[in-house]
Amino acid sequence: MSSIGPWSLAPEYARLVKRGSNHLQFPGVTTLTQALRALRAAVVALPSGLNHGPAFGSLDALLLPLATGVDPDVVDAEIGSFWQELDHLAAGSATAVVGPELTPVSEALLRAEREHGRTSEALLFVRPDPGRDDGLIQEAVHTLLATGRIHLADGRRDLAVVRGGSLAVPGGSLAALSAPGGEVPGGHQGLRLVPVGCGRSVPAGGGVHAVTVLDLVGTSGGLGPGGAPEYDGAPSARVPSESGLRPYLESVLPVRVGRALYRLRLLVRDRVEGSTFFEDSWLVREGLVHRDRFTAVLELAGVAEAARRALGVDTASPEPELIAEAALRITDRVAELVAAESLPYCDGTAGRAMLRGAAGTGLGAVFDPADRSVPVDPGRLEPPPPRPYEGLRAAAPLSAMFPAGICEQVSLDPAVVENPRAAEDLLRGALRVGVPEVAASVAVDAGPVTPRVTGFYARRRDVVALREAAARKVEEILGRRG
Amino acid sequence: MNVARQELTGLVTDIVACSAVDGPGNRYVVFLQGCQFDCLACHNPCTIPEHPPWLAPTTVTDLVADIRGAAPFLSGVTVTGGEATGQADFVRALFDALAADPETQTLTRFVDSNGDADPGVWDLLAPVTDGVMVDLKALDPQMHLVLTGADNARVLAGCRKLAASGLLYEVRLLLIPGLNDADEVLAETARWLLELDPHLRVRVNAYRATGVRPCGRDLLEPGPDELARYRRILMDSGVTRLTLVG
Repeated sequence: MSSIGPWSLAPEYARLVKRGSNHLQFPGVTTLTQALRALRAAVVALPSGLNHGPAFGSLDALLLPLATGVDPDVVDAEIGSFWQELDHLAAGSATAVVGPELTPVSEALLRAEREHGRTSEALLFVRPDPGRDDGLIQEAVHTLLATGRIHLADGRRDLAVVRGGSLAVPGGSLAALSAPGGEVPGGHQGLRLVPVGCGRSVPAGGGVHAVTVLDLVGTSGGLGPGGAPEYDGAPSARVPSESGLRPYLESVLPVRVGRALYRLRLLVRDRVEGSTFFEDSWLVREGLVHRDRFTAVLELAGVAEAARRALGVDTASPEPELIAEAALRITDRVAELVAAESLPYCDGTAGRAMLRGAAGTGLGAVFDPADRSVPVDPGRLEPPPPRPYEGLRAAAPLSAMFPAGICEQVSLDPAVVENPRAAEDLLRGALRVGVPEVAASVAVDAGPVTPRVTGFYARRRDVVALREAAARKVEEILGRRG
Repeated sequence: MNVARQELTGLVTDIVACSAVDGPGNRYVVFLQGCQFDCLACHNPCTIPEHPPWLAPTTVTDLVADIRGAAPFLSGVTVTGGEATGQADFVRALFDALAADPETQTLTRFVDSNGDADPGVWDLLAPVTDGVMVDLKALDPQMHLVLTGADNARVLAGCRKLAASGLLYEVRLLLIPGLNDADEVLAETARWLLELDPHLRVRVNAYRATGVRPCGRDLLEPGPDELARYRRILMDSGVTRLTLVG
């Protein structure tokens, strides 16, 4: 035996707390203090080969019943201390979900995040109730501006359903589960998911055996069937053409996806058959992870760049809608190809791999200080830059095709520090239009563009010149890992 | 709203679809063309002419359609300029249309103005406006004349009227060292503003020589010491809701 076991795990911590553990030698707990002690013990006893830290899921649901009736100062101190200690206890970044209400638990966690500053590795996912305005989202934005590490997520990220043979995030509402075409694997009420990192979710009570990346533009490497030449589409014209997209979908993608799935199959077999995790682990023995809730993940990188190349347009294309549409068709085709392949040991998703948007969707939003212009020279006025929300709108339908996660990154104008409600509006809007998960950071380097004050303009032609001369922007870089 | 008013046109210099600096929350900002002032420190001098040849009229309908696309991401819409009240009929028609449209009716509607408008303009806008931000260039009439080329009697009267009707959301002070930032001037300005509303929001925009005409390039920019002084004097004078942008 040489393998290191699963790539990721999402044990049922609620079950652990409720029932206790023979392995960890504690009975079921009845107090908040005991629960936090049990979680500490469990974190230390996790397998060392995981690619992320403990993924607690909803700590509100887990701890709130035990925190009820306890002195709020004690709740604050105990939970805050627990959250900060994880840096030292866990091998990787801990994740937890708070919401949909502002509770003493979520308040304590958010406060701990702010006070702990940027040294903390932990990551909080805030899932506000869109219909509720109880201060959770304000607290989250306040914390986000202080730390940059809060993710806002839609509640739909908790579930994946099978739609048209492919796994997808429910669109619109949970009612989609019972809609025609909304069948769920194994007759479950959807596959419950737990976030384990930025734009990354795994089945609750199970995990992921293995992950591989399919870079749609770069060289994919040699394993597997096929042997078709690498796609050599190159950015040249500014007029999109359908002529390149069809062969890409019909000839190139099947080879690319086939290779990636072949690689994934080998990795899964190695992780399962090359280790004794499912025979020996205390997590399996005590029913905290279940073998039939595991899957594998195919991460997609470079969707937007592939769309541009297939259409034969450059990055400054004036046709963002066509690129978004092509990106959607490419992702849909990949999902179709993935759905047609059965992988071993992936019972959690009926033998299918789950798709994750790894990087380079290129449709991301930038709340850009440069987005202010003036027609000082009407003859040379450049087309306006994309509006911040247009990227989010374009990314929303694409996001629904990535049940294993995708996170839109929003770069905020530094002025939001004085006006945090502006950040709140943008992030709330992202969730409203269907983006499942969004993170944000305040742009620290606005370059030579003067920080925005009312009435202050940057000249668009100067900005365009800079863009041409400078390195390509972050959202266009492929292979960036979330 | 009748069709004729929806087809009303205005001269729109530019749009900023997401702004964090033009009122509360994230705002869609409409820059209207034309301003009766000729400010030394104007950062948007291209918006001063009333009818520049390169600008085509925009209809209320087109503007509302564009705002609809941004609405889920916004707190509201701010009309500025140029001088927003210079096209008051267009602003009224736009705000009427926003209030009537199911997708935009929850957005707040703000005007950013130099304040130099007849009382009738504010009466026209008041029923459909949630707040007005006034850029007060100087409290002293002489200094106002130097800075803008115009008297400030209507500006001060406008501030009084807006405050009395609860529409004065914020007063903005563009401070230029040596011209309108002396200690006693700041203190006097604060006193005058707080008489209008003891809880008035005051925003200080430190002058920056960005986008200005040659006449503004030699003006001094406030440094950190000046900014600290502005904060101290305004707060000592009783301003509690102060934003200071350097």
